Amino acid sequence: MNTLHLFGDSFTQGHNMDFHYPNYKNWGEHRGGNLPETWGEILSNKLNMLMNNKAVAGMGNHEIFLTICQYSDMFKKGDIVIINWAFMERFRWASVHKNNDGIIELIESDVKGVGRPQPYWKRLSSKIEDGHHINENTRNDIALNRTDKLYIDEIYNYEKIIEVLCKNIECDVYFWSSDGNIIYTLPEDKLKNKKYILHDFIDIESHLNVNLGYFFTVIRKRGGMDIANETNFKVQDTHLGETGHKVQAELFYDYIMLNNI
Amino acid sequence: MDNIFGFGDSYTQGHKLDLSYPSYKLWREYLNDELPDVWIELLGNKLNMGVHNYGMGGASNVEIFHTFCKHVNEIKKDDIVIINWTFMYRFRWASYDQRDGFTNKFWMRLSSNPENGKYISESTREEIVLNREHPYYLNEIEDYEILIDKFASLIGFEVYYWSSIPELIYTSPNDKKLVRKYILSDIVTFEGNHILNGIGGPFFKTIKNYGGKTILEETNGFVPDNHLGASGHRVQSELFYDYIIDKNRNK
Repeated sequence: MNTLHLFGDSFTQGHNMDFHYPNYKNWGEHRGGNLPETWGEILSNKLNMLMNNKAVAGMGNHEIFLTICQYSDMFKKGDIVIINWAFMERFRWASVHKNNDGIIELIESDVKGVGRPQPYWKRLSSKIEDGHHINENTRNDIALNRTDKLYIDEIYNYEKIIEVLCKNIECDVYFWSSDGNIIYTLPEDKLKNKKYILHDFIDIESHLNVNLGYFFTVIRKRGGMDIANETNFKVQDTHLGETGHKVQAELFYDYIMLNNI
Repeated sequence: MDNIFGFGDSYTQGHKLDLSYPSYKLWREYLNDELPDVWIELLGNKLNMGVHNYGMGGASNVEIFHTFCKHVNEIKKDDIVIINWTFMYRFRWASYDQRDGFTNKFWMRLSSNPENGKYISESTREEIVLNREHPYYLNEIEDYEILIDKFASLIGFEVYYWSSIPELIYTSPNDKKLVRKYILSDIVTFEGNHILNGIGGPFFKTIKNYGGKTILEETNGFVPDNHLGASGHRVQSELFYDYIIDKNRNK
């Protein structure tokens, strides 16, 4: 059986793999304990494929690419790879776990009674932080620098090498983006490329809901709602709700089937 | 004809492609305009292969990887790719200049060297450099290698890696270090003081042990530069050649 490999951020990870995000817990309670399938689950079922979802909420594009590198050995002939690029300003920072007061949290080391720090990658963005892991001016400088067009060119360089890889393996690869500056600002002749999934629905000129961005405008226009709208704003979250995931899965399925005829 | 591709920093770019570096200009004058061949040129000749040198002085590991991405379509079956990883603290920063009314965007190459604050605040640069010394960043290089190795396997080219710093490759446990792709890792040992007249790292200590000298040494201090001199490049090319043709090394 072939595999559907998914990479990206929370818009791909979805609510069934993130056990910490409070809004998903609230949504589950609102629904009486049952969360719906994510678009990745629905799509893998429709395609009769296994799902290998390596997306993680908050990932930046460099981390998404490195994750693809890590799992590239798993790609086989006939598989499908779908990559969602994330917001440009996201980046990661090597740090150690600290409590709310900025004190390093220690875990037990091999030497009894001696604790050691727990290193990890702190995911950062343009959101204000507490200053415990990175100086706020530094965070701000990095987040701002990462919105430069040169970083978008890096993404297209990643796409090139991923495409060459997939061509050699004979698997299909598709890209989309939650950041409107990636993919959807390409000139039309470059945007209208089979690898950009749903590119044929993206109408740059006239149908943009600025709050949703290009991609999610497409989902919304076809009846896909977010959690906030589905819960009558009882859960204030703009990730896709049940209808949103269904619509995205169906649109992806139709696109993939059409492009494989 | 098969080809050899070099990716890396100034230790791969060498003195013939970098026309602006003052030390190389001085060295050229010292040698009456006859700069010696760079190791990759010598190696290409010995292997009877075309040479494509995409090394760039000051490049960071991210830039080195992106350069590989840009040129990956040129690489064919039976070609050889040699990648030198560089100092972990190097990074690049999106910058721009205004000239003649035009905005010129470019990647500023940065490192632990102090800057003038024009393109990046000094405190930001210092904090990034410090953070990049965290061992987690070494895992990024491993991730790049996974992908490049996959390409090598699919397309059918040979890929070799080496590093100008000890913490990449040479301080790994033997089961990770003594593998075919890490060129010369079987003779590069990490012990003692590896600062070699300004060139750190066990790789260059090995070159020195086999008789390779720096520009500084070859010019008796006239050119104050610690890149490899003629003998250094010759030794490196010979060691690389012996390793590449002996398929039993790190088998």
